[in-house]
Amino acid sequence: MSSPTRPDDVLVLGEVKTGLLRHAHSVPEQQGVRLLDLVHGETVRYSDYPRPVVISAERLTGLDCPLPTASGRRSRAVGTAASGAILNGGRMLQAYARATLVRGAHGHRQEWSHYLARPGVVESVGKVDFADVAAGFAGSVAGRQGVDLGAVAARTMATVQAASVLDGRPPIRAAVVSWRWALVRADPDRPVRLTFLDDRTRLLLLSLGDCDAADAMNLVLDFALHDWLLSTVEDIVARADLESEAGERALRRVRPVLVHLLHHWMPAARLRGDLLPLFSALDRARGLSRRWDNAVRRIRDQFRLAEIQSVASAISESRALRSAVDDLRARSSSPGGPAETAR
Amino acid sequence: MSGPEVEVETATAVPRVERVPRSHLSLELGHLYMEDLLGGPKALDRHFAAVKPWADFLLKRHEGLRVSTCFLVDEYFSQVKGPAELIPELLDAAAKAGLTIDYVARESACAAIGAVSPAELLLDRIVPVPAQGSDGSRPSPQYSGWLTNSEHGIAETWISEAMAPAHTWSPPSENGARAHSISMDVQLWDEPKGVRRWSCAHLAAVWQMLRLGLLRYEGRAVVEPVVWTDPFPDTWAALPAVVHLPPGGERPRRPRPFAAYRTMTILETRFAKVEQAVRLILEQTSVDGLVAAQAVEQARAERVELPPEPVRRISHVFTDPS
Repeated sequence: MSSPTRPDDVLVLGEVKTGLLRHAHSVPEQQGVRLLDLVHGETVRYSDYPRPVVISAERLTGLDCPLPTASGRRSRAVGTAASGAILNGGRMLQAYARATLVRGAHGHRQEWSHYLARPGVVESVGKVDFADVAAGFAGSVAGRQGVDLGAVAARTMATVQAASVLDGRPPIRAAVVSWRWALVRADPDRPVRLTFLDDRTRLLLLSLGDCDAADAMNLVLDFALHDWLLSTVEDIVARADLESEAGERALRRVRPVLVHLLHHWMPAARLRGDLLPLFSALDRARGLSRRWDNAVRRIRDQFRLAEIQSVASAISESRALRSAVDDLRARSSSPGGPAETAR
Repeated sequence: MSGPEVEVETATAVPRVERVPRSHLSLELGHLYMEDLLGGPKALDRHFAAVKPWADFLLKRHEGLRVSTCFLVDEYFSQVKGPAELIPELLDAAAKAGLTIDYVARESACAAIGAVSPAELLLDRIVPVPAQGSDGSRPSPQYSGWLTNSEHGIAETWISEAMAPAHTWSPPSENGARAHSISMDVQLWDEPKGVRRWSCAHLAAVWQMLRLGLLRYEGRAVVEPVVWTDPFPDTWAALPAVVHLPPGGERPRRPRPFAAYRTMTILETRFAKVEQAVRLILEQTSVDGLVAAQAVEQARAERVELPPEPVRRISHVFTDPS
């Protein structure tokens, strides 16, 4: 990657999609490695620390298209987007595409081999305003449409999900949530902007003074994963209708959360230390940890309540039984009772 | 942050790639189809006599540098002669012309070396050149066995008023062309009777990538030349992918590795079309980032200038025997 000479010389654009693997059980590591073998002969990485994760090699997609801009101005870029997949905890699948935009040195498109020697980089052809592109891509303003990294990420996810070893019976109904993000290497004091477009699409505009594209993507991946966990759990809790439904049924609905999701919660576990303050700020803005704790407490309380209820009903049942026995005894000890006759 | 920092590394979480030793130049001393070899030693003599002046010029230009020479035997499409017969003929003819062949390779090794298929590895590294307007939403053409440098308009059909299918023609347009197009479609493979058969062009592209040392399987080098001093076997399958034939049967003090920073290939003009196809394939090939960086670092340590694009590391001389 070329080293930036001016702070605004690099812009990273990316999209991350998070969903549940189409499979009844969580996938063990070695199967995960085979599942994420997207480039023949390339090493699939995996690690157990701090949580099980399998990381595919990256593929490249050729791009020659307009860039999105908030202002509606025209600008063009040529190069490649890098895409890959990550399996978290053998269960939660993330697919991403990203491209680093740099200023092209020429006013025209170069030989294709020039771009292939710079994988994951797109070069502008002609004039470009990076802040404008960042805002057009990951800001809420509806400007000019451009590069569709979401489509690249979606194809990557579909490739993994189409594997024949998957049984297509996930234990939970969960939506795929997208995070479209941009990192401007600029004034670090500029605020981070988080936008919720709809239930399934979120935008994140980061500006950091000094940050590697890979580190920034790690932050987004981690945040997207936990945001997905929260949305999925909140969604299940809402559907279970804990207030009015009969205990049994509501419990049956939230049980998969306890079995399959809760233990994956481990925010910011793989982040570089200097990104932690940013993660915390995002966490606070989204209310991530607070809402998670709340949802988890609610589910656990529900189970405890059910436990108490079942204990209470067991007690009252045993009380009733005892009084019936006492009753029987009292009757049998009285003269002329059935026991006397039998003797 | 204060307090001690603990760094944890998991070996399986860090990709690694094997380093291959490199010469400055890999010089290929011509190529012949198996049928050409039916002409016997005479045909070989003629061949090497034609190659000789060009080889001399190139060796002189690289004086004091490591230049390894190689010859690729075409035994993928037909096997007229076995190694026991052909290789000694080959070495004798080269020696008669005053040339030394350091490495002899089997073309079928470009298709498979044991369980690894270098041709598959290359196929997965191809990133088709995008047409203008490609924003990532269009799925990359499912590999049909063809690679092109152009957009074609000729497939447009519609039902005309007379209900007869009609075709419109619009000219092909080369992706990324400056003004005018030169369009080319290259077949990478076919599957007669359901068995994958790699094209000459694709195997020749693999051959260039092997000589450049740019292919890896799970991080490991794909080709490991084997020093050969025994008599040659009767079948090609019994011969390693690449055999090293050091003069006198011993490893030279200053080894000239098989892989190199750059390649030079001397060929008859009839191979020009295949090599243009090779260039088209390599123009659309992305090298693994770690492998590419390793080569660059190796070159820098030796103060060798290395263009980043693999296609710019390969050169050709096309010449016919006069």
